[in-house]
Amino acid sequence: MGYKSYLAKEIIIYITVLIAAMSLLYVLTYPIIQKVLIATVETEAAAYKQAIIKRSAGNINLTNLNIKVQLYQKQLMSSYGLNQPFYLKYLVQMKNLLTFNFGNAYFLTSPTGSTKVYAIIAAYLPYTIILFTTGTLIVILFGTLIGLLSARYAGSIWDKIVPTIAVIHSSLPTWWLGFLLIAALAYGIRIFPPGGITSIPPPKGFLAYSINMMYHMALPLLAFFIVNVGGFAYVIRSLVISITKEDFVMTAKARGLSDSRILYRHILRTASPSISTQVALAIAGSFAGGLTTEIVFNWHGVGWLTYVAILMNDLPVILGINFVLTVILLLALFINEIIKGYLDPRIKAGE
Amino acid sequence: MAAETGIKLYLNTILKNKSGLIGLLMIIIFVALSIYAVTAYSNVNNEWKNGMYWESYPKNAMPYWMSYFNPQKIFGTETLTTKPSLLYSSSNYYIYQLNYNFTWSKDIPPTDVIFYIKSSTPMESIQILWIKPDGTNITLSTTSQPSSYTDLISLSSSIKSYMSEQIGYVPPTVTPQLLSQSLFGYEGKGLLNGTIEKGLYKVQVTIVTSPNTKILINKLYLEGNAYGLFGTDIYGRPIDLGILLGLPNALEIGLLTSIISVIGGVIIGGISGFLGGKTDSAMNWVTLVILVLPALPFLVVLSYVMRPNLFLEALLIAFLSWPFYAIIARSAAQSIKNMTFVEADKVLGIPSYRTFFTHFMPRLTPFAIAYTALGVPGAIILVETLSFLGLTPAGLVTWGSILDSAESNFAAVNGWWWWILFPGLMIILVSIPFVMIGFSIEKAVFGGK
Repeated sequence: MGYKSYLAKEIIIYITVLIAAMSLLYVLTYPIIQKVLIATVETEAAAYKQAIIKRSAGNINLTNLNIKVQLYQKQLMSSYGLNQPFYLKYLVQMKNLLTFNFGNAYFLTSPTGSTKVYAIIAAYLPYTIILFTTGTLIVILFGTLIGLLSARYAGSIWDKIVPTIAVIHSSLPTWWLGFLLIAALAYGIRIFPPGGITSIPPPKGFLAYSINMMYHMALPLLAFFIVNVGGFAYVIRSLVISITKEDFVMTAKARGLSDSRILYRHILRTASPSISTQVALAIAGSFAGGLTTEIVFNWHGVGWLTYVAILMNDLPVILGINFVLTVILLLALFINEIIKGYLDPRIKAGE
Repeated sequence: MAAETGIKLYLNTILKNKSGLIGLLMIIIFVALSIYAVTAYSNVNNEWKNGMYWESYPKNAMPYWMSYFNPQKIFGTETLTTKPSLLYSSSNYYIYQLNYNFTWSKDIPPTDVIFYIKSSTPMESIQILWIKPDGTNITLSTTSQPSSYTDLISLSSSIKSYMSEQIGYVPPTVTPQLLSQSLFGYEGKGLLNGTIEKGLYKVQVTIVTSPNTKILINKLYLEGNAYGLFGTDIYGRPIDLGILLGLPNALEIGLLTSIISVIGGVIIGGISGFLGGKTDSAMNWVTLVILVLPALPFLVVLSYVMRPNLFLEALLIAFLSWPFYAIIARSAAQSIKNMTFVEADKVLGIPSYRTFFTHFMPRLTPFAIAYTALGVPGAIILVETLSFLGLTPAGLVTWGSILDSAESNFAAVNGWWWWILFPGLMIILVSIPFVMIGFSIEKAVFGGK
């Protein structure tokens, strides 16, 4: 068994995991969504009946009318897939998901008016990616810096700061901080906009648009940064400290190399695969976790979209978003697995 | 016996560590406050969403201690009461009169004036003669049958006609503050210009009731703009009370969730690492399935669909968070497995379940305790997040739901900072001791400094 069969095995595992996760979501939300759909069909049929009665102005055969309405109701039922057995719907749904065919949304539309779930998600996903990738990159940059400083100057002020900001990381909700920042910096002293992606109407021209968008990104980024930088710095610090205890660092020290050379050439090089894993997982995870941040800052990305879809019981959109987010996370895990497999000689040898 | 020394050991570890000790003390204080909240304010919990209950409280009042900075403009509510006198009684109706006298010396009028009169049968009508210090007066009456609470809004038609008499017009939006200003301003063109008359006010309330009615309670509230430790919200609900009521819920759900998910994770991860082979692969697969679910969206969907109670919500969160502990427990179990005493047990023919309970579980316990403590803040934050999105278990007061109503009532736009700041600070304050204890156990058990 070589590297290739290892990869094949991993791919199979990840696909089965994806199917299982989606099935779980489908089965758990199925009963309620079904109820909502039946209610929708009934109100639509009633509205249809009223419309016919109004149009005919009184002279209509009641039997005919009822037949018409029943036919319409049946049509609606089949268009929502309500007349099929559960297992069939489940199989169709899974097949559609896996082929990235998410179908049509029940109630939501994309900004351009399309009801395709695919188009809706594609319209909102870029904004989430822009906001949270930028945020994560800033956090990684400063987190690594602070983590390294605290590991390098053990016992100094840097060393004491990191555990404190790590405590903040695990006890501060981002949405609350965002809410507070909006109250203070957007309404108290008016230096930042309170929410949205751009001003309304958005400025014309690419440059003006980007600058306006960055201005709107400032507050959410600040909230995201304050909450997350401590956690990342803590991880880096523990990582660097654990590597410092390894033999090759001792050897380097014995050779009389300078501290900074050991840190950058030896320790950081060894730590970089682990750091890159952290980075991949952090970015992939931030998309799903940004739901409340997006709601508070009225940032119309997938998190905001998820919330709206949930409020409107739009199952195809909910399933589609969860599928996309899960795929992103699995891809990050998978790439991480490939790198690990590539770096770890035992896996390469097929042990 | 072994367990006892184990617990003693952890307690010692926590007590020796400064941050652990502070954390423990904070938790004891929180638990004491929770017990106080549950025993003393259980009835308030049921009234939290009942608007009438909070009628007499000042609305959007800032914290009371703010009045020390500016006592002339920031002040608490004044409550007056008097002895009702029966003016006239016949077989058809009774007339009562209530006389209130008070001195007003602040720079701004009260935010609202509320007459609370509770009678044994409903009142027929209520008429108020409001005499200002300079002798000018206003007659106020309600347009409909009076309820037990009569505030300025319900008297607004008579105040509005008074306004138009004095200044010639009625402002387009009439707020309680504006109505109050016309009761406290100088009569004439400058009624609403912000200056107020200071001195002795006399208020005469005349009530007509059906015969044999008794006035049970009477109160005149001159509403302030400051209340309690943390102020009040738009409905007059005190934030400090809301925070106190939210504390037991936060602790309960945080601890419950963390304990369930850590125990579940440690057992699953422990067994998986202990047994190895096919079982290990299968359990790993299950762990991965739960791990890759986008936790927050998934949780929001489930809470929205199921509308869980507190216990079910804890189970849901635990269901999504155990894989993190399972992964760590698994690798811990794998490293224990390679130790010599496990080999020795095998050679001696001791059944594997006994090896598991005598060697693995005790070694996984410190790990479990540390992660239980560390898991509490995450669970609390998740619950408050769901509450903030409007997904609060029915009948519970949570900090997230207080913040949710702050957002939907535009607290940020209106500058009601106390409504946003304090509930959120409590989330942090409750999390900190658990993180501190978790870190100190982690440090003691897994080395470090």
